[in-house]
Order: sequence, then C-alpha cells, then structure tokens
Amino acid sequence: MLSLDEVIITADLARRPSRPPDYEGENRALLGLMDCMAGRLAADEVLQKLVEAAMSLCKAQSAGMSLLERDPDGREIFRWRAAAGKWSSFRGEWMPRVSPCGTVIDRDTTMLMAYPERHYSYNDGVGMPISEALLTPFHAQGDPIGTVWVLSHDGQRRFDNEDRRLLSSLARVAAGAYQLLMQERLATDLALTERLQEISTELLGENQSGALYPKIVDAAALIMRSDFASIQVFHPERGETGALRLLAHRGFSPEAEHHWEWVGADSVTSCGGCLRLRSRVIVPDVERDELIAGSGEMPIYRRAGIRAMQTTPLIARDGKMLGVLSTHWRQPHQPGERDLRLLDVLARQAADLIERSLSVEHSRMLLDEINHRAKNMLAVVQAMVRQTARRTDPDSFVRLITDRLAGLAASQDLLVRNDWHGVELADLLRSQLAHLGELLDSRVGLSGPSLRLTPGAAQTLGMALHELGTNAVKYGALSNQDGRIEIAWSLDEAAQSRFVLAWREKNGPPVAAPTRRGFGCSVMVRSVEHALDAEVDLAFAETGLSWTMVAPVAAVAERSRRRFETPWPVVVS
Amino acid sequence: MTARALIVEDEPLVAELLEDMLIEAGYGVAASVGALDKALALVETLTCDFAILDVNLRGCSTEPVAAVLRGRGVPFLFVSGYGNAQLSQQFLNAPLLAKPFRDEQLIRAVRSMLVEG
Repeated sequence: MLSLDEVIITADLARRPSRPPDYEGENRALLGLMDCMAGRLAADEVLQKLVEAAMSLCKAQSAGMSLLERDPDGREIFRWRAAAGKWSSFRGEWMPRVSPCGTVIDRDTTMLMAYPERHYSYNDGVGMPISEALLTPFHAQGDPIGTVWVLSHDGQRRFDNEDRRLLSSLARVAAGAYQLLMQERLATDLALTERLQEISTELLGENQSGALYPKIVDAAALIMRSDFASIQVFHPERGETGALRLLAHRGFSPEAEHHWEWVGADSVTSCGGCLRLRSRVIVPDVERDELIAGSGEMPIYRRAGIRAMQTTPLIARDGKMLGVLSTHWRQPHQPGERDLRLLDVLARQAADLIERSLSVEHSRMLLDEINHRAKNMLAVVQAMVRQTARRTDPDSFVRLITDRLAGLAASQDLLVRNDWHGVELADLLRSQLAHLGELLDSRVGLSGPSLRLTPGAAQTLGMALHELGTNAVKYGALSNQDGRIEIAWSLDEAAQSRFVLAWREKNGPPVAAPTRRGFGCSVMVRSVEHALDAEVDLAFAETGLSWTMVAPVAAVAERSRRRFETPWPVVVS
Repeated sequence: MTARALIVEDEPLVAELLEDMLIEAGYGVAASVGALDKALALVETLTCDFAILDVNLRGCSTEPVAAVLRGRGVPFLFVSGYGNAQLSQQFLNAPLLAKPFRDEQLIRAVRSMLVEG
C-alpha cells in the first residue's frame, strides 16, 4: 500500500506539454449544457450530459460527477450522480468518504492521481485499474460539495493542463446544475409534503381503508420517482413464515400482478427478502444481483420491465410486521438517502392505516363472535333451567339454578380472561371450587401436569366439577370434619393420547348411591361423555364417591394458539 | 310408528334438551352424538327418519353430515346460534332453527320437515 503522496502526481501537469486550447469544442459543450438547463431537463440529466461532455472534451475513458451525501447511518459518502464511459454502469452508486474525491474535497484543489487504488481500498468492487484520474472540486456557497472527474484506464491517455482547464470550466457548470438540483428538490419536497398531508387527512376521516392503498402507492412512486410501486400486507397465518399479499400496485403488468399476488419469505424478490430480514432491501440492478439474476423471478422482472427496486417494511408500533411498501424502476437505480427518509414518513402512515383497519376488522369479527356465543350460551342456560326445574322441588329451584349459573359464569370469566384461548385445568378447578373457601386449601389436593383445556372442554368440565363440589359439601367428604378429596390428572401422550382426571373422596360419611339421578348426575356423566368423547365412571363406594373420566387428549386440550384470519380486499389501481 | 331422530349437537345440555323435547312430543331418538367423526360414521347406516344438526361443532361444520342425509333422502333441520351466516350456498335453503328455541318452535319445524320430506 503506497502513501497518499506517492499516488498524487499533480505536479506532473506543469511538466507535461499541454495541447492547445479547444475553445470551440468547449463553447459548443457549454452551450449545449446551458440549453439543457434552460430546456427544463431534470438536473440529473444535465449532470449526465455534463460528464459526457467532460469525457469527450478530455478524451477520457470514464467520467463522472460525485456528490457528498450521508448514508442511512449518517456517514459521509460520495454518490455518483452521473457517470459515463467504461464506468457508466456505476451511475447511482457510491464511494466511501476516504477516496480520491474525499482528498480533493479536503484539499479543495484539482488533483491528478496515478493508480490511486494503490493507496485507497475502495476499489475492490470496481475491478478496473485507473492509470490516471483528474479530479476537480465544485462548490456551493463557497464550500466544496462534490467533484467532477475524468479517468483513463489503459496507461496510454495522459491528462494535461488543458484537461485541467476544461474540467475546471465544467465544474462551474456543475455547481450551477447542482443549484438546479436543489431547487428541484425543494419543489418536490413541497409537493410531497402536501401529498403526505393530504393522505394524513384522508387517513383520519376514511373508514374504507381499501380506497387509500392506491393513494399510498401513488405517493410512494412520487417520492421515489419510480416507475412502479406496490403495497403488500403481511398474513402471518399463511404457511410457516407467513406471506405477503398484494393490495394495490401501480404499473404492474397483469402477469406481474398475478405472479406476485402472494409472496412468501422464501421468494427471491426484494419483498421476500424484506420479509425474511424485517428491514429495507434495495436492489439497484436486478441483472447484477447474484440471487435474483439466476432465479426463476428474472424472466418475470424482465417482462415486467423492472430493473431496480427497493422494499421498505411496514412495522406496527409494537414491532409487529404489517406489510411492505415497494418501488421499482425501469433503469438501474440507487435510491437517494433523502428519498428514503421521506418514504419512511409515508411508511409510518401506511403502517398506521393497516394497523387501524386490522383492529376495526378484528373488533367487528369479535362482536359477531360474541353475539353467536351469547346465543349458544342462552341455549345452554335454557337447557339448564329446564332440566333443573324438572328434577327439583320449587323451593330449592331458585337456589340450585343460581348456583349453577354462578358456576357457568365462573368458567366464562376464566375463558374471557384468557381471550378464549383455553383455560389451565388447575385454574378451572380452583375457580369452580372457590366457594369451598379454606376447605380448598386444607382438604382438597390437586395434582397433575399443566394442561390447557379448550373453551368447550372448560365449559363442560366446569359444570361437572361444580356439581361434584356441591355434592361433596352436601353429602360427601366435605360434609364432615375429616373428609378429603384428591383430584389428580395425567396425560398419557405416549400410548393412545389419553387424558385421565380422577376425583376421589375419602374419610367422609358413609356413602349411598342416590335414589334418582338428577341434573347433577347428568352433567357429571352424560355431558362429559357426550361432549368430550369420554368414558366416565361414577362409583358410590361406601368409603367415598369416586369419579373418573378418560378422554382422548385431542378432545380436551387446546392446540397451539391461532390468530384470527382477516380477509383483505384486493385493490388494483 | 314413532319417527326417530339423529341428533348431532356438541353442547351436551342442549343435546339433552333436544332429546327431552322430542320425546315429550312423541318422537324417538335413534342416536345423539357430539363429535363430527362419530356423526359421519353413523350417518351412512343409521336407521332414522330425520336429523337435527348443530351447524357448528366446536368450529367444524356439520354440512358433510347434511350432504349424506340429503343423498339418503333423510330430512334434516339445522340449529345454530350463528344464523345462516355459516352455511354454504347449497344449504342456504335448508330449514334452520335459531338458538335458543322453544319446544313449540322445534316441534313445528320437525313436523313440517317430516310432512315435506
């Protein structure tokens, strides 16, 4: 690695014979550039014309214009706003601050370097030697903010003082074009701010979120100056890792729209990558992207006319992935830092919109579900009242039915508290036997592994346990001073996946089988057998009541938690 | 001869209620099951004159049972707390009784389905 001074050969310019000035050529080029600027050509296009002029005037093999910017981490970099010749394909890419451009800016003077890659380490990705580089700074408000440069690669072309003069003259035009660029940015910023404000207002008043997605897509295309844009919403319930569904797009062909309607995390696309990484993915050129270029997606990109793209994740305020916002270009393109920051503002709004419509949808589904469950519960209460009335004398009816409704309510409470995702058996036991008070701790033993019951199993078992408890207090082991109840359960996952729950009373008063089988018995035996595909054994041994149920684990245990599946409208602009 | 019912209802108390209401009205119960697989195993061969099906068995639709019954020409009646929102197109016109229901409503629905069937 050579020292910096060893690659700087600016002093050679004074010693080399200089060719005579070509004022005519120079004037032609400058006039052309002025025409471009007056003709309202976009500033980037003016800069591109400028470097093309630099290349031809200086008979260089590559030429370019670098502008000092900040990358997403706040580091200074040089963005190649324009590039021509052998390095034209690097247009839009960037170089680190520590590079020939950085040195020229630091010293604020024109410099000539020979094989600068012998000193700087930036050159790895470029892979083409620079036999000579002539660079000159240009200024805004007196500060150097970028460089115009010409290169030779073949060792033959050597730059002279005439090239230095031409490049300095072009740098002054570059400064003018830069001012134009800044004005353009201000105008775009203004348009964007207005657009964002418009969207915010619409977001606040809009209930039909579907109508807003195309607007968000249009705003994204405007911000990023892209040819295409799309918004996709994340469906976590789809497949192992979830999938993205296309909600709205701008400019996709019917084939592209169909092909990318659903995109998984395994997809070789920027949105698939974004889903995997949960962070922004930028593909400046799909043809040069190692993963995409050789993949099955490549023909689709080619036919769709997509050459570059970026995908930005839409993240909820609690960190959940909600979807992605993508923009695509027909030409290779490296989005600028400023554009990306504006896009982030839009992404925040889009994420809020999705989150809000998700929660509206979710509330509507919950309300429907609650209504249905209430109707079903009323049918259960109706049956309970009727069965109790048929088998009880009018005097005890009110007390009994009140007790039973309280038991039912306790199970409901537990279910609601657990979001209807099931109830731990031990919690259900404690809640159904809560009326025993101190007896529950002193004379009832609970033992068994953790087991989450389904809502249905919790309701059925809740009623059975409620009746067993009531019976124990009235006639059984808890009706005297010494009785005990052992409640034990086990899971036999290995064999036939059986769940066994046993209720054993001992040391109570002598037990006699009831003369008639009432509602309690029906709930303890028939209901459990019916609802849980179980076998129930109820025995009135003299030493104490014993109740045992055996059921398939699948009939009682809650499987892993599932999310609500939300239907999404597809909106295509 | 007594017309006999197949009852498919996962809520045991409601199943019992249905049984009681039918028996009190003079009908018989051929079978009463609470799980879809049991219902499907029975429905091919069971001798019964009509069926009462809860639309939703813990999240599973009983429409496959209804389809077999329709194929066998056995009339059936859906009961549901969900209205007909959960029924697919081919069963939208099937008789449906909303939960909770009274004796008379059930018996009237059973009678009219037996007459029509």
